[in-house]
Amino acid sequence: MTEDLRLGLYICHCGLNIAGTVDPEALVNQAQHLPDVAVCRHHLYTCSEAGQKEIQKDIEHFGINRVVIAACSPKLHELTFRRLLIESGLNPYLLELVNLREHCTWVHSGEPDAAAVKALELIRMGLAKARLARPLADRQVPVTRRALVIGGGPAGLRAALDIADAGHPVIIVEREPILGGMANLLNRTFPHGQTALSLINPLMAAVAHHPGITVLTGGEITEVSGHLGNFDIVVRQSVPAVADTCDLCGLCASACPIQVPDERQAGLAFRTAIFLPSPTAFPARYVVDAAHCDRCARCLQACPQGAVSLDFQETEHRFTVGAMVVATGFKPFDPVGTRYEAWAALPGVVTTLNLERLLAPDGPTRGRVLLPYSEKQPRDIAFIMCVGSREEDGNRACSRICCPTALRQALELKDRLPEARIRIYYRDIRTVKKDWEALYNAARDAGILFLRGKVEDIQAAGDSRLLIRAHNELFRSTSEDQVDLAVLAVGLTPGNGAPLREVLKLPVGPDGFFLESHPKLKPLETVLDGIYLAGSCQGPKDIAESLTQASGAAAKVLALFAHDAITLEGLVAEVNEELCLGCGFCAEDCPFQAIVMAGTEEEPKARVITAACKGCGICAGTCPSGAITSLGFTDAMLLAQIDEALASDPESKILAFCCNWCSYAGADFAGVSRLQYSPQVRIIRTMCAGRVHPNFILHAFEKGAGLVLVSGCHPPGDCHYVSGNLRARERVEKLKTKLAKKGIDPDRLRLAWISATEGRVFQKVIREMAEALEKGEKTKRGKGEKGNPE
Amino acid sequence: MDLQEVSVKDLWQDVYSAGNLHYCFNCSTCISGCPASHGDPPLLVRNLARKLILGLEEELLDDDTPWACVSCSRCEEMCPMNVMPFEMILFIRQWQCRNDETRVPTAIVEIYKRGYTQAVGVNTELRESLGLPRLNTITNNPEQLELFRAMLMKTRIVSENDYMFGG
Repeated sequence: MTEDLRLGLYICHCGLNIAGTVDPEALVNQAQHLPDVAVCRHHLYTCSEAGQKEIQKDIEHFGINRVVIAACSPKLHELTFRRLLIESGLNPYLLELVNLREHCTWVHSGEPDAAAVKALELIRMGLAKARLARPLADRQVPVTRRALVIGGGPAGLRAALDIADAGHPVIIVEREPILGGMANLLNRTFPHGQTALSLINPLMAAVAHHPGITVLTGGEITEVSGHLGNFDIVVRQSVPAVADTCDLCGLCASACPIQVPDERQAGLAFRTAIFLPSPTAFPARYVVDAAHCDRCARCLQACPQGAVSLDFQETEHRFTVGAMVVATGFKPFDPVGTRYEAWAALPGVVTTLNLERLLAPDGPTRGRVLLPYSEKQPRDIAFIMCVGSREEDGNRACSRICCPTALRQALELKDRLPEARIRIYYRDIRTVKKDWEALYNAARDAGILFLRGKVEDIQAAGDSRLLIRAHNELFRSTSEDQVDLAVLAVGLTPGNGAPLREVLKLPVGPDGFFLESHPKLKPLETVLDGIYLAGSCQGPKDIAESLTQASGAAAKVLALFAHDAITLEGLVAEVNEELCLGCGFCAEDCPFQAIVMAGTEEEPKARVITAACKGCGICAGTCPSGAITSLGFTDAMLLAQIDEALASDPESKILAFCCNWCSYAGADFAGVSRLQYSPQVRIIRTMCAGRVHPNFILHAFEKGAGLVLVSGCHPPGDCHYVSGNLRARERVEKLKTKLAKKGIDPDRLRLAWISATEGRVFQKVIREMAEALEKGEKTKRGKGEKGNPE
Repeated sequence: MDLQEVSVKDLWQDVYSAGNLHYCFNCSTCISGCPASHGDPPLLVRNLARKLILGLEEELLDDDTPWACVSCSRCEEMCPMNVMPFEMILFIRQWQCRNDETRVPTAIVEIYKRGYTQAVGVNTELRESLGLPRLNTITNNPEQLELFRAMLMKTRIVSENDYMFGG
């Protein structure tokens, strides 16, 4: 039953990087007699071809079945050596790397004796973990080559087209009855002044007529289950009240007696309950506003095609997709409920979006620039920038598109009303992209006045004029100004994705926009594999940027669809159903919905969906009964490492649990930067700080550990596994009270957030802990002397 | 501060014609290198530009600070937007005098008295203590100062107001 363990231990010189501080030959002499070590060697460069050949030969000749390499950080060569093991016929997970270089010789080069002691202990820890290593299988997940695009605005249209053009079917779900999104409301676009129609209509037409694209307008995603490669989707769609036979004659609308403010016309015009949502958008078809329709059925009689029905039915679509692109867009900032509400309610105040309608040929004034509800042309016009952006309360971010929008609109107004006097109240003009600065300069050349300072108040001033009070930053005084028209340059807020957020369980950032997986390295991905972001659902963007990101997201989908199946690492969680209490803590804490509660109602049991599991071990860190095994980082492995680390002189040791992505990498960076710190620290790598079970910490203190450090990525957003750092914080804080009860000073346990670039922070934390340890020992000794009568 | 004026006319275009003042974005570079910005009252070039843009006509007509400019032209060299601040100061001086022919800037009285615009004599003792030679200023040269005053007296602004120049 028990396997005959044959460990091969290889100690690398790394030139002088390791050998300059400790003697690998001496380490070999000490380590070769350790239990189960069948072969022990040192090599100038283990990662070289010669070094690798040597290991391969040993595996063949001596039947080595676990390989321990004491060299550099696993970040550098774990994959190299895993490949070597596969080539040598061994399972790649029977490998353990001991980080001698970054975590020992580089950071303790001034203390070679202590470094030598530590190096041997690190090797012992590695051997202990390797003894418990088991072969693991990489996972193969089949891929359904069909994509879902959520949102039919510019970004969604572009992504759908790119995927469909590569030959894969696409389903595009749009909540509104027409495609096009917010672009339908725009008249012209910045910086070049092209009409939005000329940009968006070719995209809409291409999507509407594409044989590979199914368009579900009036649809909403109600359920998403499954995972990368196979998501099961449920879409609820309201059945169009007007059939495809509609020829847009408009008799139905002429017959309709109901009048409601037209949201498309900024509420400045009225529409009927049966109406054409846009004269240009796809699909071109009259729709019925069920909320306002009183079912008088005059439209039914009026329609020569018999196309209208007022049944208001819903239908459900169920399908499977391999990947999805979320392109749910933004909502313009709504002044209602904010300090701008009173301003927005004044008749001469409009938003930049309303102004687009006033400028549009198909707008409420048929493109004539008139003051709302009047036949008068504005002469004095003020733009108020940063409305709903860069706020102290609320949206703190810059919405980025308001400056170019206002500049372009101001220029158009100046062009159409040369007599108009236009001023722009601003905080900073941000024209950061190509050709945007030219807009700014054109506005200055056109004589538009730029006034820097915060607008404090807008009031009605009689004679349908508006009084604007603003703080003048330069003269530190309040300025007063009267205008006919005030335009609020409203910012972008997260789109209508709130219900979707529930369904998809996609994390959002503090700004409310969907959060990308990594701001630089994975800007298109989300933490959920197979779900990508496009457009302004991720943050304020202009059309150009949205389309760029959409093509990027489509490329990610296509890369996925290039394979029949996807290979995922074998590091997953496993549940021992006999031990599982059915408490469900693991399912609650799992950020990836990779654990479901299965079993019977009386006896629920956790079950891991291995295809969705990321191997973080957050579940194992919370399991009260030890029923969950985090493969590759099992409880037994980590406890064995703790035991080895604390085998001698435990009270002088700092035991540090470091998460793979941030803190461990931060310690590596301290090494690369040759930052010296106390050699008392012993680092144990976990994939996530959330893996650290309170029992590990208790065990360490029982073994006599001086201090324990749990460290991970900065909260809230840096965690590679969404919320593992937050779980770690909860557990550590809870454990501290428990420690106090047990008579263990809670200050002996420390939590620290250290990012991959914060080598200095790692050094500082360890130095502080070493000082605290020394101080603690001194007081203890002091007390001992006092207590001693001699 | 009432911005109504600005909605009627562009004052700055009447005063200044060396470029587009709208390009000024208040960066203050003109002030940061300006030797007259340490005076009392200080010459604040940027504020002058703003007052001009905002059409604060009365305030600007009464403003003596443009006359404190020492013509070093540093602002002009450093201005990132090429709005020609030094030119602007000269334009403001001309405009002030055009508007009020009786205006005699205090700066001219000082020039008449001292022979130069700035108080270069202030560090005489310091120079001496450092062993530096005495500056050969016009103040130390009474004959030349008289010639200079006679020359100034030939200008209209001084001759018509000779009562102000100590006769």
